[in-house]
Amino acid sequence: MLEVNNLYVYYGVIEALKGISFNVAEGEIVTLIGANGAGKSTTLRAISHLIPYKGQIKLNNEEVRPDLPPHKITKLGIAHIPEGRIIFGNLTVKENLELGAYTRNDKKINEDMEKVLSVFPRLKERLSQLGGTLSGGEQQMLAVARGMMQNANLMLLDEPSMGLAPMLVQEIFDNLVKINKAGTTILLVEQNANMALEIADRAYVLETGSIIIQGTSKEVAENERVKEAYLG
Amino acid sequence: MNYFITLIKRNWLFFIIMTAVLIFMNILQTPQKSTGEPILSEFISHIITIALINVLMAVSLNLVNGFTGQLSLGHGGFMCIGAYSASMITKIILPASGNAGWLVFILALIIGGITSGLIGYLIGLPTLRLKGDYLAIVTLGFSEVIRSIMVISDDIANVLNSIGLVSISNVIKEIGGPRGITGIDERSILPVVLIIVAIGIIMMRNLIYSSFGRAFQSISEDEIASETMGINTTKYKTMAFSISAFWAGVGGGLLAHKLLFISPNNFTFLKSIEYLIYVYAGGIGSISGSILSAMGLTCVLEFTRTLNLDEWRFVFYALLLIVLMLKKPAGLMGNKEFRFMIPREYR
Amino acid sequence: MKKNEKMVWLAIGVSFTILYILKYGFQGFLQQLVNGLQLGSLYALIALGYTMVYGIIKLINFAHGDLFMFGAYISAFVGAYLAGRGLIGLAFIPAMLLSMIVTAVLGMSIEKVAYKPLRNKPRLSVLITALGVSLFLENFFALPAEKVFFPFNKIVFGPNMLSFPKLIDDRIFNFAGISISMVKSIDFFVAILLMIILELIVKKTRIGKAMRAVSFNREAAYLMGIDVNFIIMVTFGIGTSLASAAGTLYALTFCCLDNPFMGIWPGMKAFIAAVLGGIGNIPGAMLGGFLMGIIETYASSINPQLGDVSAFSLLIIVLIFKPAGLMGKFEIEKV
Repeated sequence: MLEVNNLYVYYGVIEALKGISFNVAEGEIVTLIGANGAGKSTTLRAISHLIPYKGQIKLNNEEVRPDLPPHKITKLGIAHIPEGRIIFGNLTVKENLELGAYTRNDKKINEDMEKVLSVFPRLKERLSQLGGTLSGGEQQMLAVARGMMQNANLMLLDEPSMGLAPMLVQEIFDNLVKINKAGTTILLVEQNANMALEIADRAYVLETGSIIIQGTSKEVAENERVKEAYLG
Repeated sequence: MNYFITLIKRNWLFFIIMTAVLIFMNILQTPQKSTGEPILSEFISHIITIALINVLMAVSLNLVNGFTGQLSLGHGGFMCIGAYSASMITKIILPASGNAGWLVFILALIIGGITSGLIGYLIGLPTLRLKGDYLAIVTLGFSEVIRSIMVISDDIANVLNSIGLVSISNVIKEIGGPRGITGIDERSILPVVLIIVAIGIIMMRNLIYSSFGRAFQSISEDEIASETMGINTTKYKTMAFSISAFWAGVGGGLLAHKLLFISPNNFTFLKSIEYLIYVYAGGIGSISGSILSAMGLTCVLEFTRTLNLDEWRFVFYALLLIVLMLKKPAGLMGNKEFRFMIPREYR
Repeated sequence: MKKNEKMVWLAIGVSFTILYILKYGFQGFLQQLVNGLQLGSLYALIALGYTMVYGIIKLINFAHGDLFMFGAYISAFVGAYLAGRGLIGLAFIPAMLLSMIVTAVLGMSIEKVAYKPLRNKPRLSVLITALGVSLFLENFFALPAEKVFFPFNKIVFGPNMLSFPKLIDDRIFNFAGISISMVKSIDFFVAILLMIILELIVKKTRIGKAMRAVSFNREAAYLMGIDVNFIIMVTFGIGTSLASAAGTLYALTFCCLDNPFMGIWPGMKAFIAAVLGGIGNIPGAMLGGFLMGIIETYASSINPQLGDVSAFSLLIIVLIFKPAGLMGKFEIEKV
């Protein structure tokens, strides 16, 4: 479904991504793991065209034009849930969810809203509350829920576990599996390698801008180097 | 004393050049035997004097806008304060001062500068605690308010008179409301202006290459980072702002004693804009750039004044400002300096 | 605001009010309140544009006051055309609407040409560009037509005073000893109507939601599929059209337009009003505008020269005691 070939990203003179290639097949959960500064978020941001890149990004075997403005990426069926629970704190929970469906004009928006709220019942109690008043875990749920409202085929998730209590992380990851079962392909970027490898089909390990290990989650989890560096 | 020795040691080349220029100027200004006219005509030396004053204004504004990275839009207001205070002093004291005339003039300039610096400090203290944009609007408003205070000075004097403060009222009457002050003694002759402007530039340059100057520049690079490094940003911003206001005041005093007639109309908001353009055209963070652009643009504009296109002048300025920001935000020199402007240990 | 701090401000306000009433009587007080509300409604309209633009791209749009001027002139031309055909009375409405549209187009083009290319540059560059745009608008339109070469000599307004056509026969109503002018009440109600429409756009429509999203976090807005550049342009359009409406109302009330520099002071005071209410905050700008108008009216009723000075002193006081404004939250800059 998603195919990335020779992706380079530069921040000034610094080469943040050194020509990485990977692919995500339909229906899969694929995870990119790696330490801070390895280039995980950069990869997602390049796919969403938030930063300029060199290389090829193919979606359903068609190349995505590199000069496409970032807001048009959503229309291709990609939902990007950014790092750090970036929700709109000055908008209510309901408005946040409605913005998720900003580009849609089909009639199923209300239906989808019900569906999303049944996955995250806690948000239902807080619909008219401002996003900024939610707790950290709730904000992350809102970010995922808002991504679901985009009704995308491919969901890019940037560290959904960051700064959350283990219970909440478990809850969010369980929901990711549910979303995946319902037919959404997921590319998950994580520092929490344990959790990510548990739910993912395949994994890539990113280190200072290059992919150093790849394979099925099981293979990667059993790799000595991964065990030492990421699984502890 | 030690300070002066270091001062001369650090700037010896500059002093030599200055002396040479002064002697050269003197030769240019003495009437030639053959024609009876000096090589440097009165018109040209007038323009050069104005240009030098503008250089002082541009460099002092650059201290705030360029080196410290704050946007001040009220430089004309500080100039106004300096011009009025200095010419009030010379008008009242000069006639009675006999031979000490030059001393009085210099003192008047300094007092004008200090008044302006002090007011700059008072304005800067509350505003500079906040982020950049507020300074812009406060200084803009401030310069207009200063101007309107000058315009209504007659009314103020009348009010003071009616409550019995006759002597203060008489002093304030001298400001002259919208008519301004006339009959100022001509003291800003070319060599004097040259020396004072040179001293101003040297002092500001030395400030920039001192630990204070490094603090200024770190604020302009990244205010938050400077703060976390333990730099008291408010203190340094206020300091740069007051010093800049001081020199603007001195520049105002010089201008008043060149034009011999000042009125609130000399110090409108557009005056501040002129200096802003010199700074950005020359390059923020470059003293050499400010000197070049203030000299160049003043001369060009003074000569085009003869073409009767005065109304177009500010249209041209405005377009220049926009195009500069869009196409060449670094200005003429960027943040580079001429080699001789840099103290030896930094070259 | 802490509670006792609130009490202190309230006490200051009340004591000023009492002093004023003692000197000028209760009727004088009410009369100035009515005048202040009218002036304040104009300031509020202009302040809204400042605050919206600041909220969305963190720029003090120095040219905003000049767009107010531009709007006033356009409606004067349209008004003169209509009055020439005997259309008066409600004719100010088409004049206002047309000038709102024309000014909005000008505002959006300024954004596109001068501000958009600098969007990722240091904020100071855009601020200076805005200043340049403001200077340009004032000085260009003030050029006398005979000094401008062909196509532009049809556009410039010239440096002289222009009288605004008398579209409305002003009548003064006396109400319990207070005189209320019809034109001034039209100002007030039109301004309130526009503010309600704005509030509905911002709160209820899809574009309004997108505007709020962009102002909160531009990148996240992109990820929702929001065309950020388009939304910024729309914000400029709405903001400038409000300034233009204020310009029309101003011209309607004062019957003449001094010169193309007329926007400087109203723009300045409206900016102070926006800061007073908390810049970036829409209800704050309305509140700030009304407060500014009322305070200025009282001050200049004591001495005409005090009006401008009071506006500026107000700014200094706000900056010292409440830099975030009355309704704004003081944001700690993110590193």
